[in-house]
Amino acid sequence: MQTLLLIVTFLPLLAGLGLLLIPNRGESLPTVRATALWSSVATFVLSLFLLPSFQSEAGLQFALNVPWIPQWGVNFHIAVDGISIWLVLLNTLLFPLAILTSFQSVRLREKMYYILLLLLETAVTGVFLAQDIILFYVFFEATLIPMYFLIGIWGGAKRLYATTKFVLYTMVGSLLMLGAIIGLYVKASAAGLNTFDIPTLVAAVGNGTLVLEDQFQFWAFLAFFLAFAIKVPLFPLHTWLPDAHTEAPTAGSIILAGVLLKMGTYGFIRMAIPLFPKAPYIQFGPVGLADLQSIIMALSVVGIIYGALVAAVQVDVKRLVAYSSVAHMGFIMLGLFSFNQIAVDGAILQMVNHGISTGALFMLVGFIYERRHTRLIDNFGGLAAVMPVYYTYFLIIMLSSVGLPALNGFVGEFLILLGSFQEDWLMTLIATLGVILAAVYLLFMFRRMFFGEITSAENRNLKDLNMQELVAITPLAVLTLVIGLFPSLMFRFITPSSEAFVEIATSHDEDAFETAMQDIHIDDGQGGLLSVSIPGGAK
Amino acid sequence: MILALQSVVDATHLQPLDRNLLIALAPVMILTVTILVLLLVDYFGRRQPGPEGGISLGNASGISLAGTVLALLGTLGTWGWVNTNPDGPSVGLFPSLINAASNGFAPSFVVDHFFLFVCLLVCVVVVITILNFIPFLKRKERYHAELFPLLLLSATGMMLIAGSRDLITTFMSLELLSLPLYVMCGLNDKSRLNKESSLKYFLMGAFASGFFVFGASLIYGVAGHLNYLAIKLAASDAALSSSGVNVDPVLLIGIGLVGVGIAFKLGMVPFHAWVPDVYQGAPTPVTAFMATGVKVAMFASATRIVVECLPGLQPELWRDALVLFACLSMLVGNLFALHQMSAKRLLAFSAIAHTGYLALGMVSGSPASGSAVLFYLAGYTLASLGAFLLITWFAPDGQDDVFLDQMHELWQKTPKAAICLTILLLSMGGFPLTAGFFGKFVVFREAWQAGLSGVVIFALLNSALSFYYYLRFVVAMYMTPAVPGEASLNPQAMPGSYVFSTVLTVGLTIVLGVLPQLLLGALDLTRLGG
Repeated sequence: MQTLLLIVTFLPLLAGLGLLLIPNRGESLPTVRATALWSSVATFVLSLFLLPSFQSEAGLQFALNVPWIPQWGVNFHIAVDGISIWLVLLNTLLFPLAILTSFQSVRLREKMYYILLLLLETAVTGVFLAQDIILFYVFFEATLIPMYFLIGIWGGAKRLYATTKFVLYTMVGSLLMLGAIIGLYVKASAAGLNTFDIPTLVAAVGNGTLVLEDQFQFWAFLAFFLAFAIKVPLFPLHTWLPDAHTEAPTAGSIILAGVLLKMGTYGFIRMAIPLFPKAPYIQFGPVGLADLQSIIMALSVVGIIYGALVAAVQVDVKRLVAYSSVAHMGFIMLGLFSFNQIAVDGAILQMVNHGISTGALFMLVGFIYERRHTRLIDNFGGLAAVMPVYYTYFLIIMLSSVGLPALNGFVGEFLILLGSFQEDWLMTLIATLGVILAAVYLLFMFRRMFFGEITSAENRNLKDLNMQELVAITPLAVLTLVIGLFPSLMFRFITPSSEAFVEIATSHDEDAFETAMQDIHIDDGQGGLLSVSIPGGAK
Repeated sequence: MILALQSVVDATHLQPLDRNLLIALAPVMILTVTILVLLLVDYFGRRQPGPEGGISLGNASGISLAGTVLALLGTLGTWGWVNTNPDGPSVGLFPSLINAASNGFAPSFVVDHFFLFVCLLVCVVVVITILNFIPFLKRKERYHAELFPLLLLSATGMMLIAGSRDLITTFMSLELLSLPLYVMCGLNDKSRLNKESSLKYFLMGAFASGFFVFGASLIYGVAGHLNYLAIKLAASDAALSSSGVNVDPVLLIGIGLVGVGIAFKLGMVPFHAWVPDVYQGAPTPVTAFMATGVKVAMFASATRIVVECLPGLQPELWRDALVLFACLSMLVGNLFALHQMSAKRLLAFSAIAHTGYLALGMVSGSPASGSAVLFYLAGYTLASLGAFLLITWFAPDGQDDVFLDQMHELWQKTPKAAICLTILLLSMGGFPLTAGFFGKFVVFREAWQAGLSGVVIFALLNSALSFYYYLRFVVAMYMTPAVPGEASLNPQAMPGSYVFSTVLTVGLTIVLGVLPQLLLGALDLTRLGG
């Protein structure tokens, strides 16, 4: 299985390097496209083979651990657990779909375009699999360059501004993280641990072999936090996102929203919190006014409301979806930082959900942009009559994003709110307002685009979705239903891993003992009803 | 290689000491012989009197290349020979009496792995510079027969300064490396920019030497000697005698002035004002040689001084000043680079910023700081050489520079060269999977271990800033459409020597970025002795 993991990671890269050998001529274009598509499809199919032999209770598995730079204790260590396996699958699924949608929308310098997409796929998979800090950092940074070029070369009119902003924002965050990594390495080597291995370091921090004093934990966590919060993006570090999304080509937006943002939330789960478990609880301010946990939760809630309000006034539908991303990622951060078992489960599921539904929304927006070369909501209206299939898909995906029961978005958001309510009822209450606001702006946008009179003559003759587009969007629409009805399929893997995370995260929480152990039972029965029982009750 | 050297030396029937000297100084000796050969061939092979009549470009570059490659092999031979030295992996030469009472001798020149690694780097720099010069001279400039001897002479100085352990030897090497460069900057006597560059460099260099010599004389007054070991002892004695607080101020001023002299040469803020003008005005291959060779040599010397002279002093007495200059260099270099339009000027400011990062590598003053600085220098040298080389090639006729707005759509015209330049610039910025990343990593780790975590954060934020201007190249080459009628570059087919050098620099940049351990083993040996 290690070999399979290695192949899943590097097959796209190899395919990308293979594309370099194909001559850059018009007649070789079908070969280029086929190589890109089929190598990514093969990667997806291969990644599916990870599922049958995955053992939900085993934690990290399929580990491949070979020395990379022995002098510094850097290892090439990749492995999956119940959290990353879904993110890897999401990643390998979204890439073939993104490549497929690009066949229509990208007409310029296509070879380079597909090479970059394939490089990006390897980098993102690497981020989700890496179990070594340096390896993680290398992959994390490596995602930057392909995305930079994808936006900068194939983007819209303001692409240079957007892409430079995107890179500089991310760079500031990740270089600060590098500072914290260097500091951690110096501390670890002083304690006799010449290693960057994440599980080793986490264990050492947990059992006291590696003592990190409060001040160091606080600042190092803050550096990691900045790197990941910019990626998520958490309010107020989100300003690069609407620009990047609006200017990116459709495939770029799908990948950006679908998986690149997840690298931020995943980074918290994999590194920031387990390595510095005490940091979120350290009181600071003149009289110990606040701790980072509550500040981050508050920022998440502000992001939820702010993102929703700003989305509500957008005239450009792609920008609207981008701001809705800010709001949705706020939910994930809220769930994650409540350090409550149910909420964390919900947040992890919601990471996948958001990748599917927002990725699909960007895809749908791309479809209509290809036809009309505009994304202004006012230019549409009455599309339901002209494009019934498109309308149906848009409806499903939009409702999934709103959080309609029986669709995937509901499960995640409900669990997040349920769990975080036990941690902080006030913030959860405000966050719930965000769910309502999401319904408002999405439904409002939907009404203006699809119902009413056809106001513009150009919209009368729009063609409905063609075969290629149907193939691209259908898997995502089906998944919103499948996950919405049978979330336990995923929780079976997620929960054991997230329990380990919550245990580490709450190990320094003074209130931890007051909170009763909570169990989560999810009925994946025929009716698809979801029931959650909490024997221990709220604190 | 050792055997080959040994047999050559055996044939000369020298006394053991001299034989060791020949082997120990093989890289320097070989270069010196090459210079003599060049001059003799030039003198006896004159076709006609006057500047045109001397040794032809082909012969001169061929002899120099062969000599440098031999020197490189000689360095490798000496590297092995030093390992077999019975008294530890460093060979002291030219001992001088530093303590008459105890009859204590200290070498004023030392052949150790640190010195040899610098020789290796200098040889690589010279090889690529020669390869850069050949097409450049064919295309642009009038060729002067004295160019290649001057180049090698300067390289000899660069090697010598890395091994010198005495301020006099250091000063001699400093002048040896500088004087030929002043002439080389003014290669084209018709170009006003060349002349300006040459004159500025000369004047600033003269100032720097003045500071250095004055500082050295003050040190001599206190320590009674110019040997590093003697200075170290004097500094420690002074510290001990007055309970560790007050050091003889004259000694401190002396060390400070020597530092200022070196900082001038390095182009550290606030002694950097000459760098952009000189770098931009000099012929591009000379700029590349300056930006890499001089930096390698001067940093090697500075690190040796910090590690071997200053441990006796309390860190507060020198570290704060060094850190301040380092931080200023990063900030000023990066800020001024942001909006430059000339590629050479931009890289000149970026070189100032790199001086700042590099200085952080030696602030710890630990023996390992030598290895950290050398690793960074290796990565920086490769990236800089490659970038300047590509700029030389891009530059249109009648212009010895490239402006960023001329580079539009360059990617379509020369995709491979554009990708190579991108990789080299990313390495300069410190992007993972390039040599620059691990260079920054080791240097910043040194600084962090010295307790300068705040400074490391400052330096990292500066690196983030630097990406803005490195990516401006990318924006220009890949993302900006060319406006019709606008002056843009149309590079000719790339000459073989450029292809070789580009592949070498880019290849090594990536190899060192993926497998830094290839160098780490060798660098572990370059720890400086106290």
